[in-house]
Amino acid sequence: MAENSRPRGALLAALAIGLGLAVAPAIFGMFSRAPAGGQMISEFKPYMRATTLDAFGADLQLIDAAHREVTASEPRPDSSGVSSFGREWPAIERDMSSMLSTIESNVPRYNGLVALPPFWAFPWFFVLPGLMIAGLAAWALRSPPPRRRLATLLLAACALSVIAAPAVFQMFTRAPGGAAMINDFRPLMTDDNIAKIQGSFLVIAGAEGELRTAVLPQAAPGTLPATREFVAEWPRIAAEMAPMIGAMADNLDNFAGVAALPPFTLFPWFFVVPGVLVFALALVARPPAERQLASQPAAPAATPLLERSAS
Amino acid sequence: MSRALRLLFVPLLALLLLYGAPSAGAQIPVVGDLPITEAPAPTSGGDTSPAPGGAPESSSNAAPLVGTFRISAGNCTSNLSGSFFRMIQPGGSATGPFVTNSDSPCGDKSYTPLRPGTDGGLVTRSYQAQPASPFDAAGNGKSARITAPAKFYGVDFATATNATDPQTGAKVAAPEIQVSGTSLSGDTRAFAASWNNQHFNQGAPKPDGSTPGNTKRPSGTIDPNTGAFTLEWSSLIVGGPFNNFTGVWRLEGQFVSSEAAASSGGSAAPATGAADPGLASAVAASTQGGAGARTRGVADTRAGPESIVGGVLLLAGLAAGRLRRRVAVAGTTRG
Repeated sequence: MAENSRPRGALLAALAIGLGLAVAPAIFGMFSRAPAGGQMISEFKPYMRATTLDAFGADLQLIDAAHREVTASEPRPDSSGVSSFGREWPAIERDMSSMLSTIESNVPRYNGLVALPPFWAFPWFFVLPGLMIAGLAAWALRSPPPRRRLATLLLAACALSVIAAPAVFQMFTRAPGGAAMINDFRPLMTDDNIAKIQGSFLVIAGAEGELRTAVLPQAAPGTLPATREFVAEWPRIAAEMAPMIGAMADNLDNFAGVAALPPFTLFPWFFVVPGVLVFALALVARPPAERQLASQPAAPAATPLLERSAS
Repeated sequence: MSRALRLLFVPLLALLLLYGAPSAGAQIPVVGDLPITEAPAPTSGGDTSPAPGGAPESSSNAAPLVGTFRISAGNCTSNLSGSFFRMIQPGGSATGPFVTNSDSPCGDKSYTPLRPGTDGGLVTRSYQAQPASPFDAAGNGKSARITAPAKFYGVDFATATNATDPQTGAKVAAPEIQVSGTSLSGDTRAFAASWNNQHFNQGAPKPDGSTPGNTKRPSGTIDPNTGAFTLEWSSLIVGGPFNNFTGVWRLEGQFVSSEAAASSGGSAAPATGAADPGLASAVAASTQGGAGARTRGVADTRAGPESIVGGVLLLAGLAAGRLRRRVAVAGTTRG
């Protein structure tokens, strides 16, 4: 009896770990949050390219040049939109440049996340191995030694594949990158910040309209070249900025869902730790080979662990 | 239970069924069969509960106006008149603060005048869908049936009503405007604006039937004799670059019913002095509906599901009472 209590306990522990893995995504709300993260990753894609970010940077420089020109011109244009632009642009430029550099520095991390398996599949990486481990442990518990040996071998193999998964998917390098990106984006992805960006857009757009309709028609030909270029380029700039602001606003909830997940840095260990434990438990529960059994004629090990305990 | 109590109970139950059940049954909307309360029912802002089924809610004593709400162009040269669009900033209310559109020709640039589109205005009970390619290369909205595209921060915005809302992807009912006396109410959830390669649902209620934030269902007035109307609604922008801003739409012009348009050989308004027959009949129907509701009494027993169930229960109760009495009589006789 005592000889069998250790393998039985080990298999029951493996069963519990398997079930724990299987229900973990439900506990952490991963079934809704992981697809939300996937949607965010997908919708941010157009803005997580170096070329796009460089283009935004060039646009900021163009607007900055127009701002310098307008604020230096005499007499200074007398309109509320241009005045707001003159006053508020330096802070807008600082905030937007900072935002662009934050995004730019996270492009490699973003690419690492994109290279991971699709986010919607994440919960199933816990559920399926968890169910397999639980199923194999239950099978081992109910099987007599020859089959139990096979079941524990399969259990050990399953545990090894769970241990290997983070290495295969390079989670040890990519997951901390994802965590750093989430932290960097945290101050950007707030209602207040989006409202601020929307306000900045309206200041720039308002100034462009007044420059186009009131200031430039009265300016001498050949003057204010940067302002003319800004106005000429505005439809393109607006067409690029507006969807980016929209993508940020539309993904506030998705970001909040992802940020509420357990820290990304822990994710590889959610596989490794249970995997190592289950592997060790499988070794403990593994019955001796048939040759060894033959040398031990006493019957106890020939009965299933679960039935024996019940009788 | 004494016989006297039983005798009292049965008429009480009957009265309850007669007065209670039919009014519940009358809540089942019957288009053109006109309803009950006097006031139109534009819902106040802040109500976020969706309307059941996603279908337009019918104000209870209102008659639908089927035709075109032809709009007159916004005019801001002297006194503001005609049709306009305004946008409330996040956190604002119906009194502002409003977004300033630098492309507005008005002195108060928070007003963006609207001009009639190729259909003349807003058509009810059918869609005025956007073209297959709703934007040009510069992101200008191209839909031009309801209103002509108008510039907003350097880019044209356009309006349309679509069976599938282009922003949310939700299936939405066609616009519905009702009249009750001289008051207008309705449902414009299919109304959408397009600007800068972006779509914004601008209907009230929203496609799911809710009225979040400053969203206010359409309300307005109409002159039954001339068809001159004003209609206004506001709609919170949910998502996109103007998330949490609110669009305010004010349409002013003349309603021309489909009936009048058909009889005058197309889209023209009825001849001066002649009342629009479609409008006149809708106004009359709304008035009769109200009067009918006021005089509704015991005779008004349109059978709804509740009244049928109630009737069956009443009959079953009476039968059970009768059976019980017979059993009691038989027992007494045997005894």
